[in-house]
Amino acid sequence: MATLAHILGPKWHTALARARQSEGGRGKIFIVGFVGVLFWLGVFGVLYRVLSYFRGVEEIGALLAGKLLSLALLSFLSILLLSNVITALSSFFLAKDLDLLASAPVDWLNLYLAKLGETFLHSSWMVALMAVPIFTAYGVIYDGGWAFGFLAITAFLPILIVPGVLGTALTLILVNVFPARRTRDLLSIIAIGAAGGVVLLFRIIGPARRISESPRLHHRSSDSHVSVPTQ
Amino acid sequence: MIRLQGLTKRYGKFVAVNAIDLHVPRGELFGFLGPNGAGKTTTLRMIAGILRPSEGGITLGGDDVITEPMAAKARLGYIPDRPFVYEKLSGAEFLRFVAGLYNQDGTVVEKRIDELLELFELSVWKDELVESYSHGMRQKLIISSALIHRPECIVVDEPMVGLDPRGARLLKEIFREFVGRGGTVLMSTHTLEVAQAMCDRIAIIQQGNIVAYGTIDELREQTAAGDVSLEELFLKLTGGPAMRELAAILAD
Repeated sequence: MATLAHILGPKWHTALARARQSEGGRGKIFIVGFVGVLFWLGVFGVLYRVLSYFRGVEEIGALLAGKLLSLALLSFLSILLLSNVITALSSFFLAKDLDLLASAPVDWLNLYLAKLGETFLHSSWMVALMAVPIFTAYGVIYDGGWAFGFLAITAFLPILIVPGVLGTALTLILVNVFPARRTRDLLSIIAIGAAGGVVLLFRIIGPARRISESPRLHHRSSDSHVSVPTQ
Repeated sequence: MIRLQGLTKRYGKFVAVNAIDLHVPRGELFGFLGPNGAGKTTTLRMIAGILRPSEGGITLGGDDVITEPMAAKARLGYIPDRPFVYEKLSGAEFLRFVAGLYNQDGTVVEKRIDELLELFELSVWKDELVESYSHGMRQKLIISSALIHRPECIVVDEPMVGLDPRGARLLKEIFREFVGRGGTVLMSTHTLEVAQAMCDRIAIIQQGNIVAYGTIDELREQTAAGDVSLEELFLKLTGGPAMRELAAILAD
């Protein structure tokens, strides 16, 4: 029986060959790597400052840091779910190698796992990379120590895997109702709609306006009036 | 060798293949003809185990494609109409990969790869990436991959597309030799000359139904067409007069 590794072999070969053949060679890899590291440092820097501030706030500082982490993880979870649903359509139903694999005596479980792995990698790598500076900042600020890295990876893996499996399952159900291509179009529209909805929500909530309307800030503003020297 | 019993495929209310019964014994090259959208490719994809039939059964050498897919598929070599090859693999790597899907590896496979590449005049390109292959070379590689595990039957959808006359001639010879050794070929084609020259028996499918079935002489008898070519028979069975009428109107 063809093993999972054998089924995934050509994908691995393809990735290696693409990396070897990429136009611009080492220069391109260096530029991409440099921009990536800059981005990581940027995210780390911003979060380092925010978490340093939180740590200095008595009583609610740790709570705020926890809420921020929950918010980040929840965002990752929703992004991954949508991304896995769309990617699963391509890898499970629209992939060009499906006929070749399905007409060979390949065990269905190995075929499913290979396609699930492909979906999971394509839709999760960016989120996984994004999580690195976030967890690093938390580890540094709250003195996580060496065990923190291991714990963070262990805790983060289910956040990557669960939406992968759920998204794939959702796609399998959707494709049983609609044709694969129509489902992809439908999901693309939903994704654009969701992104637009988030922007609209931010505009409606208007965080900046809310802060300026905050009674505490009004209070400070009247304080500053009072503190202006008078003659 | 290949047996279809009441094979049906529905997409919602649309019936793509309607209760087809067919038997292709060992040592026969069988042609499957029909106009576009008649249900040829759907039938072949069901035989290859890619599509699940809505009703009916398929057996390959006695193994049911639905209930014993591993055993049934191991007997089959499938060449689709729009074949896929991993662009970043070399020809030899691709053949090694396909052989692995059929649980074959080692020196036997390496020898077989060399034989097939030699046969299809691809030996020079053995270690070149498939992305540098021409359309015809890819087609030859796909045919090699269908033969790599020494199948008992071959199901092929439009085999001559993309092949030069030399390649087409070679493929005809390979199929005839394969059949001569007791293999079975089920071939779908639009090229009626090819079907007439190569096939032992022919089925003509239209709107999911087999409308005629047998040797060319039997088809002539069934249609009372006299001593006409397969093309005339095909047009007669699949609405040829209407097409000729349309052509005449357009010509006016």
